[in-house]
Formats: sequence, C-alpha cells, structure tokens
Amino acid sequence: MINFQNINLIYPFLSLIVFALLTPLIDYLGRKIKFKYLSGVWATLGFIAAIYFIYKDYLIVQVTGKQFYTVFFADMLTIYVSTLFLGMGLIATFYSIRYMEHDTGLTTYYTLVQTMIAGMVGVTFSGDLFTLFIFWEMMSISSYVLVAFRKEEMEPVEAALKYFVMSSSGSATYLFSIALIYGLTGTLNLQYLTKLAFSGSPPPLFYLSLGMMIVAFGIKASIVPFHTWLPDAHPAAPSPISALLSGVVIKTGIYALLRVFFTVFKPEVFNYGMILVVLSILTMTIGNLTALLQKDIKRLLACSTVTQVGFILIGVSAAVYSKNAQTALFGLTSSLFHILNHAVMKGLAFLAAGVIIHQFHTRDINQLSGTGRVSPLIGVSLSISLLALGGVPPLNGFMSKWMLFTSAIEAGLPLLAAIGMLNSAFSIGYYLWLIQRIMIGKPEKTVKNRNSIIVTLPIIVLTILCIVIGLFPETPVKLAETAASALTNLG
Amino acid sequence: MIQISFYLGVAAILFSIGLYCLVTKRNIIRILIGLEIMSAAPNLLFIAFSANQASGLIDPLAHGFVITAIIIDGAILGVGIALALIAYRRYKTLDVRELRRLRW
Repeated sequence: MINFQNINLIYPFLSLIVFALLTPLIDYLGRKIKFKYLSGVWATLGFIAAIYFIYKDYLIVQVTGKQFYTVFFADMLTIYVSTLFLGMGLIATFYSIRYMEHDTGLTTYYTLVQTMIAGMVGVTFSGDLFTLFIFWEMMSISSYVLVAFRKEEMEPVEAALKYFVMSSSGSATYLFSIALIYGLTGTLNLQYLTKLAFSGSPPPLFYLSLGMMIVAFGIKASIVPFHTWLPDAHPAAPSPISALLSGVVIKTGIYALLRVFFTVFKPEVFNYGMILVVLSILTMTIGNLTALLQKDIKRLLACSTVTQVGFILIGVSAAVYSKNAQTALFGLTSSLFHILNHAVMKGLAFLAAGVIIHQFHTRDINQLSGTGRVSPLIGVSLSISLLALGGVPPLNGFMSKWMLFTSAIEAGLPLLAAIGMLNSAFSIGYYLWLIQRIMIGKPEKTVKNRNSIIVTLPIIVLTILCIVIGLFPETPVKLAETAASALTNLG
Repeated sequence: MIQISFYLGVAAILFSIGLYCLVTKRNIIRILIGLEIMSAAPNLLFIAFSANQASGLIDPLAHGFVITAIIIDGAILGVGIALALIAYRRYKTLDVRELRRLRW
C-alpha cells in the first residue's frame, strides 16, 4: 500500500509534469471555446500550484531540517533554489501569455517551459546522482527545443545545434563521471556518499571524476573554457526563454556543482580550491571582454551572464578554498544571494529588452537609440536592471557583490577580490553605454506605446524586487544563510 | 577473468573516440554518431563495475541505470536528428562549416 504521506515531498515537480502533460488537451479546449490564451493561463496556474506545494514542503523541511527518501530528498537549499526557479518560471510564463501570442506552436512552447522548470526543480530534489542525471536531461532536452523554437529563422537552429552538441557531450561526461563514482564506492546515493571516509588520500580516479564533473556542470553553468555556446544560444531564444535560460537554467549547473562539492568531493579531503579561483577569474574577465565587443542588445546581456557566473564562482571558490567553516558558510551565503539577485536582474533585463525588441524589430544597439523613451516604464526598468547588474549601491546587485568580495578577502584571497572589483567596475562601462544609447536621443521610427498589463506587470514586479532586495537585504540573506548551512552540514 | 582496468581502458578509449569525432568531423550526422559513442562509454563502465561490486554477485541497480541512460540517449538523438533535418532543409547541406552565421 502506498503511503501518500511520503510522496507529498515531490509534489512541486510532479504537479508541474501533470500540468505539462495536460497542456495539449487544454489548448485543444481553448481552440474550441475560441479563447487563445487558455494554454498560457493553464501553464501559469501550474506554476502557482507548484509554488503552493513548495510552500508546504518548506513548512515540513523547516521543522525536520532535511527529508530523505530513496531517490529524493529536500533540505533548505533545495527549497531556496527551487522556489527561485518556480518564481522565475511563473513570471516568464505570465509574460509569455501576451508576448508570444503571435507565434505558432504555443502548445509545444508551454509544455516545454513546464517540463524544463520541472526538470530543474527535479534536479534540486534529487537525492541520487543518477536521478539528478534524469532530471538534468529532462531540463536539457526541453531547453534545446526551446532555443530552436522559432525554427523558421536561421539563427535559432544554428544556435540550438551548437548548444545541443556542447551540452549533450557534457551530459555524457557527467555520466562517465558518476560511473567512476559508482565503481569506486558502489553507490550513487548522496546520503551514503556524504559518509565516505578515506584513509589517507583518495584514489586518483576520484580526481578524474571530479574533473569530469566540473567540465560537465561547467558547460551548463558557462564557466569560461566551456562558455562558447551561451552568447549564441541565449539571444536566439524568444525573450521569456532567454530570461529563463540566463536567469535560472545556468544556476542549475551552479547548484549541481555546489551539491557534489559539498557531499561527494568534500573540500577538506580534496584540494581543488585553486582551480576554482582560476576558473572564476577567467570567467569574469573573458565574459567582460566579449561583452564589450557586442553590438546586439541580447548578446550583450548574454555575455554579461558569463561575467556574473564568474562573480558567483568567487563565493564558491572562497568557500572551497578556506578550510574554515565560518568563512565557507559566508562564501556560500553570498554566492546563493547573488544567484537570487542575478536571476531577478537578468530576468528583468531580458524581459524589458524583449518589449523594446518587439516594438522596434531590431536588436542592434545603434538602431535602438532613444527607444527607452517611447515607453518610460520599460526604459526605466531596463536602466534599473542594468545599474543593478553593474553594482550601483542602493540596488540588489551591489549588496551581493559586496558580500562576495568580502568573503573572498576573508578566505585569504585578496587578489581574487581585487580582480572581481576591477571587473565589476569595468562592466559598469558597457552597462552605462547601453543605458545612454537607450535613454538619450530620438527613436528612428515612431511606434505606438501600447503594452498590455500582462506584459508590464512582470517587469514592474521584478523592478520592485530589484529595489526592495537592495534596500532590505536582511530576509533574503537570512534565507540564503539557512540554505548554505544546510549544504555544509549535510549527512 | 578480465581485469576491471581493461574495461576502464576500453571505456576511456571509446570516450576519446567520441570526443575526437565531435571535434574533428564536419558532418552533423557524424557528430551525432560521435556523441553516441561518447555516451556508450559510461554504459560499458556501469556494466563492468556492476559485476565487480562483490564476488559472485551482480548489482542489478547498475543495469537499471544503463537501460534508463540508453532511453535518454535515444531522446537526445531524436532532438539532434530533428535539428539536423531542419538545418539540412534550410542550407541543403550537413556541413557545419556552412552554418557560420554565428559569431564566436
């Protein structure tokens, strides 16, 4: 007899999968009753239901600390990250109801958005490295198709092919890596893997496995030698999907890295802090340099995502490098806080840029001069998001960057903090250039400023979040800290 | 009795062949074949390790992993072939050098 008490933990992504499977049926119904927005409304409802279930999980996990089942588990980190994923999914789906209304194949679109987010939430709930792989592929396959969604154009198909080849070779690498772990330990369950104890130094095959793991997740998280797919794939997708890909999909890579670092490859046993420091510096610098060369607004935002991943890695490398538990906790907290902030800022930037691109039918920054003045709301929101990305004081990006640099200094890596600050200052340059382009001058053609409330509401919500998190960072930092402490004390 | 290191070596060679194929080949279909060779390597490794967990016992869990991984590979390949087909219809070629509209 099935005990239903046990499966209510996984309702967040189970409900999303059920909603996704019913979407074609609902779309058919919508065409019958001549209401074309029905599938979009249905997908939005799916996300609301999933958020409700994650809140129920939160109430359970808050009391017990962590919940283990055979292949699933949940702790505060799971709840923190998956709430972020579902929230962004809700916002992007709501925005798509009007933004995507002129596209064909919306049934596929909404189904895939839901399966992609369900895969991501599944990754965070996986208590087993192979379960993680299954959900990882669920997310990846959905995202390949979503990047190639406008398949009648040239760019999306090419970008999707490139993304497909790089990302699936990463998945094969991950599978190889967990095969090695299985051979060495006889299990893939995280609960057992945390209790691994080595007499002396671990066997060299573990280091091979660790390297492959960094490559596999690094491809998804766009850590620098493996980032080349990102500036192509993210702009090629429709704007809400760009917001999801840049805002949250790459964070799944970071989450998976954090999870395997602190359960399997514990920093006390394995020495790889320096590798992460080098990767972090490379990611920040090369991301900035490529962003400076871009003439395309969405490509610029995508390149700045690479830079921001470098900033997130500062905290991770500080946590791994320092053997001190307190410093590690602070580094992880700041990384997780920056993950939240970057999702909000980059989501807002892509959604606002999407409206401008939709109005003017161009992505070339030189042709976009003065376009922010056509609808002041969109222009101001885009400027706020860019200022936050650059790290201007009252906004949320400043708070998390400040924490990241402090954590690097505390971990004994002042050089990393210095390079991070230089990169942050450097990045303000192209953000300000973009703001100046968009807000000053006259648009080349006149368009009617007629945005539906469904498109503007998500933008307003994200703008308010940008400002509020910047002014009152205590609550999100506290949540991030609980998540980080759950990660370091697992097992 | 074949040593486990033999299987490890074969899996590493398979993986390298797949990676080589991915890097050097220009035809999309060949790239997809390289991807498949790459993902065959961990499956071999799982099967080899499952027989070596304890003497006289074969761990059935790893076989479950392999079957699931094969199914996922099939799904990935399906998406890959669909993308290749769309690219072929547009460019009338499967050569990736022709798909050069993206800047790096």
